Parts: sequence; C-alpha cells; structure tokens
Amino acid sequence: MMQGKEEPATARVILTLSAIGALAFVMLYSVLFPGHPFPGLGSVIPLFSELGDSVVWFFLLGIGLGMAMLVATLLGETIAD
Amino acid sequence: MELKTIFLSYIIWLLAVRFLASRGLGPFSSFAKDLTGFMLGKGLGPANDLIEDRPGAGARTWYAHGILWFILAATLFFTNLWTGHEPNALYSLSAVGYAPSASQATAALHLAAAFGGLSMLLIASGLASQAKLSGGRLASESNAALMAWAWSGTVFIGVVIAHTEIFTSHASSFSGSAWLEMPPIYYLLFTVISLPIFFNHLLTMSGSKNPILVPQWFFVMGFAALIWTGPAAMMLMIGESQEVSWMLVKVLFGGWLLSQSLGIAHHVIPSAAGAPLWSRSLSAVALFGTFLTFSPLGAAVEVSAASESLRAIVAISLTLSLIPIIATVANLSVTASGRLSKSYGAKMTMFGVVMLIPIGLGSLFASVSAFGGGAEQAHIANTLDTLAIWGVFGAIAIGGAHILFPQTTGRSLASRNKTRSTYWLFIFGVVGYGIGQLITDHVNAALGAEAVVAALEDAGVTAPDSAVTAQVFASVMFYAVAMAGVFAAQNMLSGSLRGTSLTDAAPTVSSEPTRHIVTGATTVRNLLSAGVGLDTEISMEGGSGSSGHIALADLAAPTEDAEDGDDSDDSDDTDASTDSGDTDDTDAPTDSDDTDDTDDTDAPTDSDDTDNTDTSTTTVTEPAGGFGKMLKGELVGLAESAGLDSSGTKADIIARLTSA
Repeated sequence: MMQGKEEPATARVILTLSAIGALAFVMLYSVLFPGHPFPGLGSVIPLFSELGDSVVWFFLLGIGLGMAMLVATLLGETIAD
Repeated sequence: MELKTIFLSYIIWLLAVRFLASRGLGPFSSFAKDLTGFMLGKGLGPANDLIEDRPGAGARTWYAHGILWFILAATLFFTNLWTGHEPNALYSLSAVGYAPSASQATAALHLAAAFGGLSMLLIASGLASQAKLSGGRLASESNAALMAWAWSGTVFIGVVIAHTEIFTSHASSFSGSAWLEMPPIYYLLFTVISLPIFFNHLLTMSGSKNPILVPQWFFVMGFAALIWTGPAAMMLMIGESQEVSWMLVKVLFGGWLLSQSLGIAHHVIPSAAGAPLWSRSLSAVALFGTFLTFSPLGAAVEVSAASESLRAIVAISLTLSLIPIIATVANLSVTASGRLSKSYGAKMTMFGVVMLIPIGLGSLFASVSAFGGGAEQAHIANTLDTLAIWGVFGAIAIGGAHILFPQTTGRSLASRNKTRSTYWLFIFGVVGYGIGQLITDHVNAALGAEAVVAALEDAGVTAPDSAVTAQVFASVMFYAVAMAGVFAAQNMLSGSLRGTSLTDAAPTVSSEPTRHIVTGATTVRNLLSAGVGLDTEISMEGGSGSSGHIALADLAAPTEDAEDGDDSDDSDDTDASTDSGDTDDTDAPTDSDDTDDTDDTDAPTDSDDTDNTDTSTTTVTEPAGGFGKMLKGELVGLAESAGLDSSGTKADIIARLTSA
C-alpha cells in the first residue's frame, strides 16, 4: 500500500520548520533581489490596487479571512441547528 | 499626592478586603448577602432577564468577548509594529478616516490589549474557576454575563475615543502615563463595572461549603486592586503626579493582570496535572507577595525625579517582588513536572508562568532605573512590557481558556490539532518577536547614542538601517500571535457548537494485559501505571518475599511517593485537588482540549510515562499478541529487565518469562 495512514508528530514539525524557512526567504526578498520590491496585494489583485503596495495587507488579509471563517462557522452552525 | 500615602491607601484597602472577606460582617453578614444577591439579580430590573441565569453563562460571555478583543488587540499591535518600520503602510485607510497618530494608535492598542483581550479572558477564566471551586455556578450568572457586555462596550468606547480629538486634546493637556493614556475619569468606569463582579465572587465564595483556596483569593484581591485604581486615577485630576501614574501602572500590571494570571495558573496547572500544588507555603508567599510589593512588570512608566530614600524603598520593594514570582514558578513547575505531556492548554499556561522569570528580571532593572534614575534601560522597557502582556498574561489567558472554556459550555474544544497549532503559533510568535524586537532596540540605542551620532556625522557616514530587518522579523513573528488568537477563537466557537459533550462517557477499549509479572517490591500506583486491570493475572517473581502470589505488604505504597513528582501514573484522569494540599476539593479532568479529537494519532505515544517509571521495581507485561510475536532481541531485553536469564533460544526465553 502506497498511501500511508500514519501522521507522525514530527511531520508537523517539518511542516512548521519549512514554513518558517520559506517565510524567512520571503523576508529576505529585498536583500536577495535588491531594487525589486516585494509585490503588494494591490499588484497581485487589481481589486485592491487602492490599498497601496505594502506587504502588510497580505497579513491583514489572513486575519480578515480568519475572522470571516469565524462568522461563517457561526452562521453555518446556526442555520444547521 | 506622595507615593507613600497612595501606597498606604492601597495596602489598607487590600487588607480590609482580606479581613472582611475572611471574617464577614458579623451580625450584618446575612443582611449584606441578601442585599448583594438582590442587587446582582432582581435589583437590575428588566436587564436581569436579558440573559438566562444558567451555570457557565457568565464565563462563557466573557470568553466570547475576550477572544475577539484578543484578536483585535493582537492585530492592532501587529500593525503598530509594522508601521514602526513602514510608516505609510496603512496610508490608504485614511480614505475612510482611519489615520491615527502614533500616540493614538498606542493608546488604542494598550486599551484593547490590557483591558480588552487580556482582562476579559482572565476574568472569564477567573469566573469559571471560581464557579468550579465553589460548587458549580456563580451566585449570579446572568449578572456576570451582563457585565461582560458593559465591560466590552466600555473598551469599545475607549478605543473609539483614542482615535478622536478628545484623546488628542487630553493628551496635550496632560502627559498621562504609559499604558493609562486615557482621561482618568474613563478608568472609573472599569471600577464601577468591577464592583458587581467583585461581589459576585464574594457571594459565590460565601455560598460555598468548600474552604477558600489560593486561586480564589487571587481573583478577589485582584478585583480589589482594580477597583482601587478608579478612585486613585481621579487623584490625577487634582494635579499631575508622576508617582501616582507610576503606582497605577504597577497596580495594573501586578495587582490586577498578574494576580488574575497567577490565580488561573494556580488552578489550571494542578487540575491538568492531576496533582495538588507542591507547596502550600510557596503559594501563600505568591499570594501575599504579589499584592504587598511593587511589581517589576510595567517597566515603561517613568518617574523623572525622586528622593534618594524613596528610590531606595521602591528599589527594595521591586526586588522583593521577585520572591512571589520565583515562588510561583518553582511551585507550579514542580507540580507540573512530567505531568503535562497531553494538555497543550496547561503547557501554554506553564509557558506564561516560566516566562515570568526572564521578563521579571529584565523589567526589574528597567523599573529601578526608571524610578528617579537615568532610565538607562528605557530603550527595552516597552518591549519588556509587551512581552509581559503577551508572553506572560496572554499565554496564561489563552492557556486557561483552553482548559476552562469547555467546562463552561459542557463541550470539549473542536480540534486537538487546532489547539496544538495555537500553542506553537503562540510560542513561536512571542519568542520570535522578543528576539527580533530586543535586537532592534539595542541596535537603535547603540546607533542613537550621542557619541556614535557625532562620530558618524564627523565621518560623513549615514547610519545604517540594519535594525529594520530585525524589526520586520519581529513584526512577522508577532503576526503568529494574532493567528494563534484566530485559531483559538475558531476552536472555541466550533467546540461550543459541536464539540463532544463532556458528560458523555466515551466507551473505552479495554487494553489491560492478560498477565503481568512483577519482580521485587511494587506499589499499586506502579501496577495501575502498567495498565493492570481487575482481570489481569499478576505473577510475583523473587524478591517479593511471597513469590507466586500477591501479599498486601508488597502492595503498600509509600506515602512519600505521592508527592515526589516523578511518579509515572500522572497522565490518567484521576481527580486532583487544586489547593495547597490541605483540602479535599476534587476536580474533574480539566484537559478537555485533549479528549475529543479522533485523528490525534500521537496521543497514545506522547505520554512520558515510560521515562518516569520507578527503576527500583522491574516489571514485565505480556503483550496482547503474546511473547511469541516478539523478536528475540526484544525478548532478551525483556528478560534482562525482569532479572531473568536471557540466554538460549527464543523458546527458552519465552518459557522463562511465562513460567514465572
């Protein structure tokens, strides 16, 4: 059987470490590619072009999605009941 | 007003509360209780009927508001950190009217964090803990829930005011103090709202037949301290006093936030560990020391000038405050030692407790130098305060919520995986932020020194912005704290709606071994640790003095073992007392965050039982499939561990093991 069912705890550690490593490289973007600023949310999605080119909007989008999931869960469970 | 006078008023107030709470009002006690009960309930009129007076309703409402404020406060903190190195990052929001100045943003986030997220979560856990220790419910659950709405509304109004001209004009006329930047009269509102909760605590305790435990005293005395801050803040209206401001911040951090945190930790850790507190005297020292000394936390507040004698008194008091901190960390660490492997909520709480040592030490030096001294550590004071807020109070608030929230809803949290993610996100976030921000602070302080600036100017060199990268790192790491709050909120919300009911007795598969071999003396504790059940056949191997059968003498457990902290059966769900060992208050298993998730594959293996087994007794347990399915190497090891001859063939070794 090729598809295992186990989920060792160390797998999560590796995932976390790789995520942190990737994040570190993202933060070093301006060092690795000087003169090329990291694209902001407005550059990637034209709908948000008025927000400016700051990377902070990616982070705030994450919190916003989290809050939206909270509301969706609340609505979903209320309707389900 | 002088610091000595105001401190004296604080101590007298606390002692009076302590005395009256423990002794009562004599012949007026019954009348006072009836009147208070009426005021908390029917005295509110129609408002009392808005919320059903069901057990857990009060704490649940505080949790719901608190976790939302936690996310909002962490988000504000994150954006504040980010705009520190990219001031125009949120400039586009000015189009919708959101363009706070640095002081406005700081005041808003201080309010949202200290009084919103953390205070509300700590109050919630305090109410849940109080209800549990006092027999199941508060004196008035509906009143507690109503006060949560009032408190949350007050914080909301404060955050809005912090962004308006009202705050700006106040700030220009009064220099305020760190962490208490709003007009003094605003803090009187929290005193007013605290009074019903304070009386609710007292009434709940008085209606309980259980003795009053250390956590309950922390909650009550903490509220007494918070109530004192309102009138004390009004003294600032009379005239600006740095000493009063300094004292208020110390009471906010030490008397209020720290005391509530320690109360929760003193309840949560023993409950999750399944063992009573290690030391009664250490918990008593923690209780009294917390209120009778100036807390080193809250290091950013400064007093520009003070007499030598006052500086010495304050420095001594600040130093003495390390005693309750060390007592707490030692007491709870030993209590938790080897017993918290399964509960991430308890581990998060323990993280906050342990962080008290480094943050307390750093804050001590910063606080001493900030009181009438040169404020040589001012460049790291804000970072230390932030670490105290999130690393200590935040960790205990979130950890306590993971343990106590399920008890208020009657349902477990939705997912153990989310609990684990919350734990790691929070730890990485706080530690990463601390490292990055402290580097930033020191680099900025070094480059900003007069001599360095002059030297760079003389050389015609522009100062490098090397601290910016570290500051970006700190900001991004702190983002993990905000996400931890989101994960915790999702876990709590989903758990309250569709978590496993805590009253359901989940069927368990019997895994007791059919045969258990004991070599030498043993205890019932060790037998239970090895999974021995009622139907397990126990064979005694030499050294017991009664080979071949069990003698009661062999099963007598030495009483000292119960308090050694290195026993191996601490991962079960036995009830435990949360007091100092002098009462018989029993707790249900409180690590509800660990009970429900069926996809948790490491639960059976992450227990550290095997690391802590008593080496003085060697036991051998036959596996479910029998010895025949074991490899020879395993059999050799088993035989050697049982003190048997391990030579010969596999069959020989099995024969020795089974014939024992």
